[in-house]
Amino acid sequence: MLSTVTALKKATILEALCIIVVAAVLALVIHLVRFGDIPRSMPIDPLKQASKELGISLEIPLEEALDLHKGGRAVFLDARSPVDYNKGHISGALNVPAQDLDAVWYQVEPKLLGDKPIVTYCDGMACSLSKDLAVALIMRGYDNVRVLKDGWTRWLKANGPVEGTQVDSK
Amino acid sequence: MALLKEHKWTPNNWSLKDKKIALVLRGALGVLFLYASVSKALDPFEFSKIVYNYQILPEPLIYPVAAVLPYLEATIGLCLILGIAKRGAALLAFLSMVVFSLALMVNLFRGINVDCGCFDVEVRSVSQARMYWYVLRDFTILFWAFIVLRQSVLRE
Repeated sequence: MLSTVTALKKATILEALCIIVVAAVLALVIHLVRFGDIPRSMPIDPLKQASKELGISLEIPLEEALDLHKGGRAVFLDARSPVDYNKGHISGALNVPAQDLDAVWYQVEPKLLGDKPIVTYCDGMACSLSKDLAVALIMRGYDNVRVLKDGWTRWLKANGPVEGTQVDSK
Repeated sequence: MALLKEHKWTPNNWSLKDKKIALVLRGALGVLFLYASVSKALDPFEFSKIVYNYQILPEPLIYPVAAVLPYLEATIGLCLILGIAKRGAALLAFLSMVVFSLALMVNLFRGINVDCGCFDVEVRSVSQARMYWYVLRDFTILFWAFIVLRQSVLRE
């Protein structure tokens, strides 16, 4: 190990720096050719982006979601695929895959009563399914829609009630 | 493992077989890096979501890193395959594996399951077991990169 470190000469580090510069220039040139410009800010957070466009905050804090769930005061919609949903989901949540909303709408609509808040979730910080579903519901006239960001992972970590084939139901 | 023994490291007592093994190890590592770069380079926007998921970098840095990293991997890969600036390429291959492994382990310890995004850019939800597999895989490549680095710098 030590002999490897001592054998690292200036030339090696210089070579490495050259490779970094070449890669950066390559990335810049190819990016310019393909996309025409360099984006200053990326719509990386889909939820933030959607909230901005709609002019309302879609995100619901985890504590608030847990609270609503405890009192049964909200409808939870799982926007992930049926496979993920069956493995485990928030107790009582309905599976409404964002891309199949039209197909399952006749089953979903009767469950969305009155002004009861709707909470959508999926999994992962960058997952946009829950946001897509929320926006689709808002388009259909539902105002009280919120998104639980990175919902499944955070719900599990917070020991929220879950059910499914691969989780310990509480 | 003969390649790890110290006495093997003066070029004089390198047999043709040793040279061949060293070449294959370096070339194959290059192919791996090149392969890993393709899907990321094709879709930097998707890849930026993966980088975002790791929850390590501040937001302004996410896209620049996602845009440059694939080309860095590709350049490292090509250099390793062609034997151009191979010491520098081997050093970078090793260092990048250190960074990748650390990024995964930080999230493993934080209890965040992130999709590795190592060889493709599809964002999936992953299990804890899969995280361990990612780390194990990264450590294997890290060790491999270390051997290649050792070969490259000691064989001056």
